[in-house]
Amino acid sequence: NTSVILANLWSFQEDPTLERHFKGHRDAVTSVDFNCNMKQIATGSMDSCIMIWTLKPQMRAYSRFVGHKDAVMSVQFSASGHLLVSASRDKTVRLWVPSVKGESTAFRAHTGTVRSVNFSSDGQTLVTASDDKTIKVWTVHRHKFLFSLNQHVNWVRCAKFSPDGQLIVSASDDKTVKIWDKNSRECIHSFSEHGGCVNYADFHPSGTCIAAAGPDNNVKVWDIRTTKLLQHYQLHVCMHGGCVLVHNVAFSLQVHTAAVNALSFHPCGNYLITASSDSTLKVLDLVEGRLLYTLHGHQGPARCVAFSRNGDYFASGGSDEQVMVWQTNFDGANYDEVLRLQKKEASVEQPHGCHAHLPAQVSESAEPLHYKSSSKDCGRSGGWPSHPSQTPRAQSQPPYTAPESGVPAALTNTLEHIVGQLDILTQTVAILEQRLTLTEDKLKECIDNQHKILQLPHSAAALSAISS
Amino acid sequence: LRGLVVSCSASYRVTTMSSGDSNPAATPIPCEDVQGDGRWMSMHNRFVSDSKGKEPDVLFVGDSLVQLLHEFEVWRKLFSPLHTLNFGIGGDATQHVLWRLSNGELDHISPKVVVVWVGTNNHGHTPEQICGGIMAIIDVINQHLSQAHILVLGVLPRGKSPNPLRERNKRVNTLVQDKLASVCYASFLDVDPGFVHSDGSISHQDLYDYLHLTPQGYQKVCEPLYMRIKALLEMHAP
Repeated sequence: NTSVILANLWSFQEDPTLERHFKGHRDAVTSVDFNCNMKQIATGSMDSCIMIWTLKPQMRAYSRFVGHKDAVMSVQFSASGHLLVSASRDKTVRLWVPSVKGESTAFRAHTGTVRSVNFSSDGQTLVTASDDKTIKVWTVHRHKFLFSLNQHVNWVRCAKFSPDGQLIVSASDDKTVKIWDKNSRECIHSFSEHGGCVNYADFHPSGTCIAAAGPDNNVKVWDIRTTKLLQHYQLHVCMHGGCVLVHNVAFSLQVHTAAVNALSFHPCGNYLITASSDSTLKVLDLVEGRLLYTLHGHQGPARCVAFSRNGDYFASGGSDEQVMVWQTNFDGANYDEVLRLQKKEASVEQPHGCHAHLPAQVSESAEPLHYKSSSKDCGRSGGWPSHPSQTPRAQSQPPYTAPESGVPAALTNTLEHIVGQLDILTQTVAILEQRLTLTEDKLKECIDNQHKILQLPHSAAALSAISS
Repeated sequence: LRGLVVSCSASYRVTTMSSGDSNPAATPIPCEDVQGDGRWMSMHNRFVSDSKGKEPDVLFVGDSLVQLLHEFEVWRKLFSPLHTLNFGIGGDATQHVLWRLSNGELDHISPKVVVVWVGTNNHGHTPEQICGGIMAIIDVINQHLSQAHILVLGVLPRGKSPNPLRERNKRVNTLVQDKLASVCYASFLDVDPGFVHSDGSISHQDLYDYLHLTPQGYQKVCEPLYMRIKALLEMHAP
């Protein structure tokens, strides 16, 4: 049955689903992070508190950590999950042990609001960004000040270490995104965002590029080796009395604009999720270069978003004080599975005269001739950075073995990719051919019927009246 | 607690100031929707909702001279980087600004400096009444934002040739400047760079309709204003 084949072709990509919905903060949620143990989520809020939410239903749902004297702007678990760090408008940074007792030590880090704090991947250093226009680097042990980076001329909203810890990226209200070398302490490049303040920036998991969240609902992806702009997403929103139309065409007329407040890369590097003041989360497919999903749920600006360490979940927080935890789903499809499914369906005998039609459900912006690779197959041709995935899903795949001929494994992978794509293309063309045949048959039927109608006496007169 | 008006009827929270009842310029009142499209209230509501989630260090509030400033390049270059909000509405007199500030516009923000520029639209009021209106505005701001410094800008001269309104505005400035000498959380700034020439005329190149500023006019006004605001912000810094 053609429609079943078509349905399978389109729907193998599963949509994200809302998993949990936490309430408890008494003001906007500004920051969210997953613990690598996958059991906890930490959120920071304008209400000055940090909450630790438990994902396992049997356990107590949350702990509230009190200590900061003003809004909490940023929270992060260390890679090991043993520590939680937070940054606040009270100008201090706190290091917490995320247990029931919630012990913490605090240190005054800046002379203005501390907007962002980030662990290096080895957990030894912290980088903080502040309204006092500086970025500072500290040791985690005894929070010793190491050095500061002073080239921004306005509030620094965000500063993050690169995955290898050698670089720092920062985003500022002075409309620049800067890359710094942690060892030489120099600014090695400054990207200008002429549109306005940059709220957030982060490294791609490969460390070769950065994404920056700008005003006017735009996201830019820059290659830091060549300093070239790789991708530019203009995510316009047009509001008509509560109903939201989503356009992602760069030249459409802007009626309503909003800022992107935060973004997060999927650990495999193929997806980017953004949180916008227009209340939506948007999932971008970085390989195809397009919008994949728009998620509605928050009532009011979405302030923060983060993928879990293995990408299976993501969480968001908003001005509506809510925290939402979603199951990703869309990163899971494997083209091998798709091919197996196609072959199984195609072998079923097609009854004569059945009418193929598009399935009613089409994923929001999915197109035909489109497939998603598994999170493991990141080595695409075309220059998109690949990242070796550590996801459990990848580990369940049989490992690739290099052929004896000495052809490099990466080349073999790419070739298998291309072959897989060609297979699906071939099958889709075959399906289209079937549909065309059916359409031709139907048309012939209609023409025959028309002839029969014309042979009736009164209808011939009626037809000639119309044509004159 | 919100005094948001949905229809024409006013169901608002009012904090009447001291003996404001006898001074129409100091009695808070929303602007009457004479034309019938509710624009004034729409702007006010937008200011209130815009202020949630913004963190301005500076707030400008007043009439069309404030409102139009937002549309000029000088705003983007000088004031945007200071994290500034603009709550100006064309045509507003002191009593309208007083109502807006008492009904939500100050509820969600804590700027360090508030710039007040109003008075030229108070038609039919005496200079003493207008001064009273401005003082009432300063009171409301101070009650909501005890840490903020309030910067009152002098009302500009208007009209091509000498006229009673110029005299009125000049007198208002004198009275306000006098009163503020003894207030520590507010100060007066005369931003008139000398628009009135020796022959008593005002040039349309500074005030294109002898009331509103051209880009060149704003440039002259904003430079000393910007310097003063920066100095106030630096004083505020830890």
